[in-house]
Amino acid sequence: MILPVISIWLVAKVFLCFAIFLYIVFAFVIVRQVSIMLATLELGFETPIRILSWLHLLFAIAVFVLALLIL
Amino acid sequence: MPDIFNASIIKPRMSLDDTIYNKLHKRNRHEHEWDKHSLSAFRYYPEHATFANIDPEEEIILLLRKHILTNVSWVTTWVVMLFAPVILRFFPLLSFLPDNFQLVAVVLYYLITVAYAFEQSLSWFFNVAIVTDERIVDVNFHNLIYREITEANLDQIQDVTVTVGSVLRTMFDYGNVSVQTASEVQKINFMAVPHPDRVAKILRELRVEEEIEKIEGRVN
Repeated sequence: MILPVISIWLVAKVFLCFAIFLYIVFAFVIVRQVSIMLATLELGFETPIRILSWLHLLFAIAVFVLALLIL
Repeated sequence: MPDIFNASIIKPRMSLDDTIYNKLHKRNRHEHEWDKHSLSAFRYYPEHATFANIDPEEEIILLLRKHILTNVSWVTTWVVMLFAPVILRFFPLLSFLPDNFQLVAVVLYYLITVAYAFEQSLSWFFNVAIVTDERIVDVNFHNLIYREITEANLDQIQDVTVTVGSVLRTMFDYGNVSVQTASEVQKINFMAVPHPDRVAKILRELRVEEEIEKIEGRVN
């Protein structure tokens, strides 16, 4: 009886980790998009925007690691 | 001995630098200090602004983006998203999950919320219309991977239409400026830009200036 319960949460963990992995891909696309935008236009705030996009990616990776550790 | 004939002295033609249009631009160049801010939606002769493929001698005269009020809808959505978990505490939808799953779900939710705000801000900041002394450029980043850059020379502008269509737009003086061109892209739209009448006036002055340049044979 315990085995099926564990399996359900394991499947849930795999799905959640996969969702966060997709989010990391999305965050990486944002970093690339920001680079392209900054290459096209220079309007000020280049450094803060670039830092924010990288922080977002790093935070997404941190959440992925957190999910792997605590789930 | 009296002169029989005196040739009239022809005054040198007014140089382009002294035209009324350049004088107007010089006078208005530093008209509004708040327009200089990088986050301003209407920047006249913006400093420290440039774009890809700009010519070395080309000068940006106007940098336009959507009026700041156009951000109200997504900011409202974002605030609702921010406080949704607090409200949902009274309706525990995730209570069937173990605590660790709940924690990751909430963190992921806030990550998505931050990404939403970041994307919307980027979209507002980088979707700009640029008017230089040679051409108009419309830069659109439609989504994460699709960008569209439309441009037309000033001498290809045929018609400029200003549309201010609602109470809010009338009150805060923003609206659409449609530029009909003779280039491949027939219409360039500056959507919800501040001071549309002023934009149209500047475009008209630049067109006249361009025509004078043509007549004087100074076209680059």
